[in-house]
Amino acid sequence: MKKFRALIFVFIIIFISGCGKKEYSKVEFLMDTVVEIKVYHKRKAEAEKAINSSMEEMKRVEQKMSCFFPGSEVSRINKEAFLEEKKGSLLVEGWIPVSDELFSLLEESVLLSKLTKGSFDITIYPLRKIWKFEGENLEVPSKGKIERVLELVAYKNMILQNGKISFAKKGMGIDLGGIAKGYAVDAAIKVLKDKNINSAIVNAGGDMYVLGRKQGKSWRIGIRHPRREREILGTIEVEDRAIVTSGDYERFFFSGGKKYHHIINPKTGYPADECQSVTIVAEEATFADGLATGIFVLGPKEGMALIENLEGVEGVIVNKEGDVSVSSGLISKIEYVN
Amino acid sequence: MFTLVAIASFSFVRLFFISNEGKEALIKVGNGPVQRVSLKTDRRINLEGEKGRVVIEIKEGRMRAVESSCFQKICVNTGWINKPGQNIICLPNKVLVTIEGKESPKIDAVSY
Repeated sequence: MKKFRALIFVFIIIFISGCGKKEYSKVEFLMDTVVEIKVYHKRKAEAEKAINSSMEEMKRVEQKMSCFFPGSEVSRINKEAFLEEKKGSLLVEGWIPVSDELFSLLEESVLLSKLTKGSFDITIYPLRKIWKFEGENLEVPSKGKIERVLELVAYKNMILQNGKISFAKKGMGIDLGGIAKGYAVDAAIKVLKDKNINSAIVNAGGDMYVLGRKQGKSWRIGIRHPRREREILGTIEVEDRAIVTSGDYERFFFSGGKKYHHIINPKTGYPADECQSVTIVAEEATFADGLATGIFVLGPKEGMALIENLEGVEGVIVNKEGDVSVSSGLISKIEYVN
Repeated sequence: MFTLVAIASFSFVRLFFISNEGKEALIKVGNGPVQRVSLKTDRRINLEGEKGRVVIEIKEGRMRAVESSCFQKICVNTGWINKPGQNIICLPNKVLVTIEGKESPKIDAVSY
């Protein structure tokens, strides 16, 4: 009888733990990648509603921030904002009003540019236009073209003032590709929190935020091995953190036997070649996204020094030789697989 | 005794719930609904993606993209997949194929 009671007790425990929070998820193609939102929650209707609102929020962010959508706010800025030179050296100011939301993101971009000594730079847009990584007949732009366009890339020539933006040179523009995905992840998480979700993961093509704990435990996140496609370098356990990786394996093409990947160094105009991958763990995905891109360009040594100097930021850098370095706060937390 | 029963029951529950993993795949085209296919029957599935056709082949419990209208053929070059959590993605065609279950019960997601 005692044994029987114990058995029943065990089953009740399993039943309770099994029927607490259930997993609900949704996958969509957004921001040129696969976005997955997974939520652990007790009530199905609430969870699904939260996921849908969160996904809609990401769509809204994409439509506002993408320089590839002709109707986006960013596209409007790229079309209209520059200081036009007039005869007799008079300057006609082409100030464009910016929404509060985008203005804050532009300010954060400038902060990231300053931190990374210009290695992260959203004024990379003119370079982005000549480097294509999708579609047919991909080729390396001519040296002359790159040099001409490079003069238009400098975050210091993007002027932000009183909720308005202007560029110092005609032909300048902004591309938020190095930060917008992270921003969309943060925005999605904010919506989930507002809907009383406290355990979730928003994953935009490997750039993610993990909210709370997953069924009482930390989330275990793998970091991709930059040279072995289906393998993991190591894993880390995290809660309430963004994990974002920039790698040279994501988008690329070969020309003349050489590989050209999508992370362009705004100072040289060519793909950055100091790192294979940079993973940043931080409190916000927006910051983590920009920092991962910037440090990929900045290089492993200065990059790791920067990570160590920033509070609440940790990282893993794989340099061009494949050597792995891990920031002090992660050393005891990373579990190597390969 | 208590622990033993607990472990036994837990294993039973786990076995019961995950026994189906790896035998079915989930296919999503664009933002359409998720379709479920069994990996037990060998066949070819034609999907109409955003840019054109993607052909998926299922053979002996594994699957691959054999043809795609995309340019870079990243999906076709992925080759065979057969383990839970593995996937084939064709971004130009907005096609996602995932084998049901998690890649590793220990990992929740991969940052790349």
